[in-house]
Amino acid sequence: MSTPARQVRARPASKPRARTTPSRKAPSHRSPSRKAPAKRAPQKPPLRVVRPAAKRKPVAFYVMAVAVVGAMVFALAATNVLLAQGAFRMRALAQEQAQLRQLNGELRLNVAGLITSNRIAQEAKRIGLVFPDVIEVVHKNGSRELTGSSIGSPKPARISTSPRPGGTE
Amino acid sequence: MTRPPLKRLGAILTLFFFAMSAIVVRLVFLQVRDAEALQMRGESQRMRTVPLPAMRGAILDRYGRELALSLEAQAVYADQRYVTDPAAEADKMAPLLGVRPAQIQQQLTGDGGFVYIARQVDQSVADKLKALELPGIGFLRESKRYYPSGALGAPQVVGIMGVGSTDAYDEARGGLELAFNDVLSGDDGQKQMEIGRDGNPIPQGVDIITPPVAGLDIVTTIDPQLQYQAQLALEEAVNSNGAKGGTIIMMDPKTGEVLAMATYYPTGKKKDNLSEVDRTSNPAVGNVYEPGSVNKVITASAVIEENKVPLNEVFHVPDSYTTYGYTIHDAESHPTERMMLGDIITHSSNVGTILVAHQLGPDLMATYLAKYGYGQVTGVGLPGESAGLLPPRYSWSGVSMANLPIGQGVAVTPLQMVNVYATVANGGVWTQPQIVKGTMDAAGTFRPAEAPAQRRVVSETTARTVTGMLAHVVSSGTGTAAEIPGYWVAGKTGTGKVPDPVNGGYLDKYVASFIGFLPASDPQIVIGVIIDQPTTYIYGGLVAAPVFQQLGKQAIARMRIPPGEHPDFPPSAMHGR
Repeated sequence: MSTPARQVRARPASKPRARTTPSRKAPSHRSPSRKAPAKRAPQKPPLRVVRPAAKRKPVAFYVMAVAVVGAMVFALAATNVLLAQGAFRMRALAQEQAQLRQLNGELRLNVAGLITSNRIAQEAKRIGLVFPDVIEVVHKNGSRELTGSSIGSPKPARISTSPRPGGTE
Repeated sequence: MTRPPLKRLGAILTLFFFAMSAIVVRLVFLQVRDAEALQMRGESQRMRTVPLPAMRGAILDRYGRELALSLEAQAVYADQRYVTDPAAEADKMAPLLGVRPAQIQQQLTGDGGFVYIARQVDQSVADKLKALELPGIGFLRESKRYYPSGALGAPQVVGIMGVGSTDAYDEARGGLELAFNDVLSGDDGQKQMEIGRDGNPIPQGVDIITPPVAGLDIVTTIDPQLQYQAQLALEEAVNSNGAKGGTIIMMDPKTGEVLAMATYYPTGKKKDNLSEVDRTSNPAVGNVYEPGSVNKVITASAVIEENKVPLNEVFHVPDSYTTYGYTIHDAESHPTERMMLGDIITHSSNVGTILVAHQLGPDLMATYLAKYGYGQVTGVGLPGESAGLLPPRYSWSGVSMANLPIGQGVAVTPLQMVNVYATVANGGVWTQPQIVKGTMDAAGTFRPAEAPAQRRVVSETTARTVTGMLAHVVSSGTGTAAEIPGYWVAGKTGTGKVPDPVNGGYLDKYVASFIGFLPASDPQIVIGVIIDQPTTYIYGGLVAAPVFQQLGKQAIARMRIPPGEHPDFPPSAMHGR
């Protein structure tokens, strides 16, 4: 931080005073050996150093600046951490999604296999079901009452002679 | 006071200047001249693009159940340069992959770099392999096609995926897999990500995903239960009759939807093994045969439609007919019979049909053969469909009118022939057969296929009259084995000869068929049974009609078809005989 420039102020002529501090660059500083001019120039008021008015140190400013910068750094770090956490979590979720998708596919395949006509027919055969030899049709008249007329005669399904494993009659 | 060391300062300044200049020049090289190449090199080192293959759409039956579906799988590869101990690694991998260690060891040995060890490995197996952390072994994501119903799930309709040019199972071969490959495939995506030194993605690095677009599902018209029953019945019929093979087609005559399309040509190999089932060709649409007497329905409907023969006109029908030195016999020897048109169809008289056809004339005969779809593909949408063989009218000889009306000298596909009966069942309107109902996207939005083409071939009255004749065939003609108690079934038997491709003429082999529909008064289903070269019996009434009866019963139960009204039988000159 640069220091404030000295302020030089003219002193009234009626009250000459000795300089308290020499100044090399002051225009009134002359060598003692030099002669006085023939015609005395109007005397310039001697210069003096004026102390700047005492200022309070901007402590609050420093504190606030540090706080703001600190908060920003913290926010940046926190954001970074959150982003990293989010990225890791997204990756984990993506993996979980892939696993669940795979599981869904396997279950879908499993279901597709279970509902095939071939498997159902085999299972039906295993428990003794047979396709009926005669088709039974119950006619219905316009009044929505069952007439009871039918074609063919009912015939019980043949039961497998081998007992169903673990099954109940 | 000493003077500043100007020379030394100058030297240092000069040196500094040249050093800075060198840096600037280098920077220009790096940042300007080579910038693009270096950037690409850097990206290639840390950027990795992983393909995201689109999931292939499923092929569904009419109820939305999978006939074919894809699941994620892994391709296992090896980079031979990083494999440290081929023998040990092969020993660990072999049991999981179900192959011999020596085979894998051979693949792992060498310095050639990338080599596939196994394709389409199930995810569970791949996970176990990954856990082994074998050096030089890597994995690539791909999909695997499954056919849950196996050989009994319309394999020729569905088709199969085979190994393509990229060594992956991505080449559609046959069936709907091939016909709708563009719709099923979807669009592959990709994932671009930044990789760290350890090979793992950098969490906050580049991560650009172009998501794949899954293929659409194809919803077919196949009824899985009817398909299964057709397949079983066909295999039983082919095997029990010692036949070369056969085809069964079941259709909804009103919509043209194919409910089942089964083909069975035994190879002597295990049928449940998918690789042993030829899914790449479909004889139901690709093979042609001479239809024989089932073709008489065209002759009959044409003469009725054109009013060429009154239904009560009596023909004196001998059991043989000779024209241009070519003699045609009826199936059984008989004295000259008095027959009306209905009798001729009911008893499937070849001679009677030829006599009737002469009333029609060759031009109208050719016209009606074409109107029923002969010589044209049906447009069902399956690959490899044949148009059949219909001799152009200008090439007909004098014999043509003796053999074309009875289904000789012309070749059709099973689907074409079944569609002829669907036309009669549909009141005389030919409807383009349909095997695909529409497509469905991942969100479950169904888009129906285009409505099938239709054209009227004969009037509804003619169709009803012909239906009566066909019902008479089943009730008291050659097709009684197709009769279903309580139902009026309309159908026709056929026994076509097999042409001799080498010497011309015909072989002593036959194609036995029965095509019919039920109930006759309000047809709900058309069933065609075609048995190729049976060795037990040759007649469609004995070989194919019983299969029709079996499938008809099952279709009635499956589709809850009520019995219809009694059809109007045609007048007959043979009652009481």
